[in-house]
This record gives sequence, structure tokens and C-alpha cells, in this order.
Amino acid sequence: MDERFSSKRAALAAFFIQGMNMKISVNGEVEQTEPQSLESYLFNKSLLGRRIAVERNGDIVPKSQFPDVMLENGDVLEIVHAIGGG
Amino acid sequence: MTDTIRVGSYTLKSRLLVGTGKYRDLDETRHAIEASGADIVTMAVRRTNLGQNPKEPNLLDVISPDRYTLLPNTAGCNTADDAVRTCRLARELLDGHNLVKLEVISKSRTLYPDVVETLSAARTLVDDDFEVMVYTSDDPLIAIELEAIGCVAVMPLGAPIGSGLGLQNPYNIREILDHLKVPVIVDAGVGTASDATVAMELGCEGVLMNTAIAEAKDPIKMAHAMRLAIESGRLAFEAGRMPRKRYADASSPETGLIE
Repeated sequence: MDERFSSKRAALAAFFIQGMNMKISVNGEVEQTEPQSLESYLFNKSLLGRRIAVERNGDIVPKSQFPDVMLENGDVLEIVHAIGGG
Repeated sequence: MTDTIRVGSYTLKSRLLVGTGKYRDLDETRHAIEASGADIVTMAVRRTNLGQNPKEPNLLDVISPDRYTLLPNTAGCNTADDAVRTCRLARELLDGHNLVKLEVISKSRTLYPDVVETLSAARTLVDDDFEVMVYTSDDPLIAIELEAIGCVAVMPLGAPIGSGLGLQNPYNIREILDHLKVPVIVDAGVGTASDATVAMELGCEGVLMNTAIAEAKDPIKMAHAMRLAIESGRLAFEAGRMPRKRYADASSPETGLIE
């Protein structure tokens, strides 16, 4: 993992209240969420099955691994899609 | 025309490469891209809007990866690290498609390529099995280095991005053409059809443009004009222009005149 991301994660995690809920950063916004798989998170956001790509803590998560990846407190996600550009 | 251009492992029928930015809507995008006849179509990678309507049409719904060769760019990236991350996200987004347009742009008003970061990102991406089409300055030495690194196409600017000034550097472009074996594609600077023709007449393998089409009063008509301009310029290059002369040389015979 890129050290920039591990330090970002550590900084986030340090402020988080441990318990049932956890906080993750998604596209730069911190949000509170239940412990769950990445697939279930994306489903709840109506993003599952859409043309997106996900980076977790600096590493690409292949679509095939969405069900197996469990979100952890302090995770930093980037979720991207294609838009017009030159 | 059976004329084709080879870029890395891709064979393309059109020498016009077009962007998908700055259009009014996806419908206009689709019509303009169709009118351009382009094979390679660029796109950008951006954060998904989490509150978005799931029914909202997506660029990839109108520019189908089955019909076009998509060329994700790294526009907006100011560092090699961000450009590499963006390319990896794009490859995942497009199911393993490994062709990318690398551009690492300085934060100046010229939007000039940051060639130091560009060289670094190009090395990483080539090592990671990407086919890299690279946007760069018109410096022949940098172009030569980018080819040596393994980029599949080198794409110098003709003028600053979005400026529409037309080719400001024919000497540099010609110098780059003299040294490179991989396709040289002018990327950025074209304002109207004749600018594209000039680039093709110099011997470039293609031209990549976005704003010249998208910001025309009638983008679809301009896309058609650009298609013809690129074909004309290429044909003229292949035909070989006549030598320039300093004085007139009559076209009609000067003998057999009535008296």
C-alpha cells in the first residue's frame, strides 16, 4: 500500500469511534457506515452493475473481488466513472 | 480508402482522433463523434457522483466500447503518481483495455505538459503493460526519449490546449517526424479544418482534437469538415506537393498561339 494512503487511513482511524458503526472516506467525503462488503456498499448506493471502477487505499479492487472485500474502519475509497474529455 | 494507421496493437481506419469534452449533451456528443468518422475517442475518468440518479445516461452508453477504441486520458493530473493511478482505474473501468492517453499537465495558464513527470509516468505505465499514447511538448529530444521508453504514439501539441491557434510549430513537428518510427499525432491547438490539413501535410499520422469541434457553432458540421480535412491532408502528403518556385510558370502551352 502506498504510504500516503496508510497515513491518511491512520489519521482517519485515529478519530473514529470504534463500535458497530465505522467511518470511511468515499471520494473525499467521510461517511458513517455499517461493516459490510464492498459489493453490499455499492448496492446500497445504486452503483452495483454500473460502469465504475474502485480504488481502495490506493489499490485497484477488481470487480470480481467486490463480494470478498470487507470494508474496514478508515478505508479510503475512490469510485470513478467515464465522462467526456479531450 | 484502405489507408490504415497502426498504433501499438491497434489498427485504425481513421486518422482523426476526437475528444468527448465540452459538448452540450450526450446526444450532441454522439452525433459529432459519428460525423467525425473517428475510431479513437478519448474520455476522462472522474469521481462518481454518489447521489446520482441510476437512470442517468453514461458516456459509455453513447460511445460504446464495442464500436469505438476508447482512449482514457489522465487530464487534470499534475503528478506522475496521479496519472498512473488514473490509468489503472481506467483499465479496470474498461475491463482490461490497456490503451491510455498519458498527459501530465502543469498548473500554468499554458497547460503545458510537465515533461519531467510525463517521462516518469510513461516508464511506470510501460512497465505495467499499458500501451501509452503520450501528450508532450514539441521538444524533439523529449519525443525521442518517449519513444525509447516504449510509448506507442507520441503526441506533441501544435498550440496550447483549447487555444485553437493552429499549428504554431511546424519546424518542431517536422523535426520530431524525422526522428520517430512510432506514429506522431498532433494533439491540441487545431482551430479549424485547414489547421488539421497542415498537420497532415507535414506527414503526421493523425490529429487529436476536441475543442475545435465541440466549440464550433455547429459541432456536427465541423466534425464532418475535420474528417475531410484529415483525409485531404493525408492524400496531399502521400501525393507529394509540387516544388515551390520563386517565379510564375504558365499552365497553358506557350506555343501554337494564333497570330
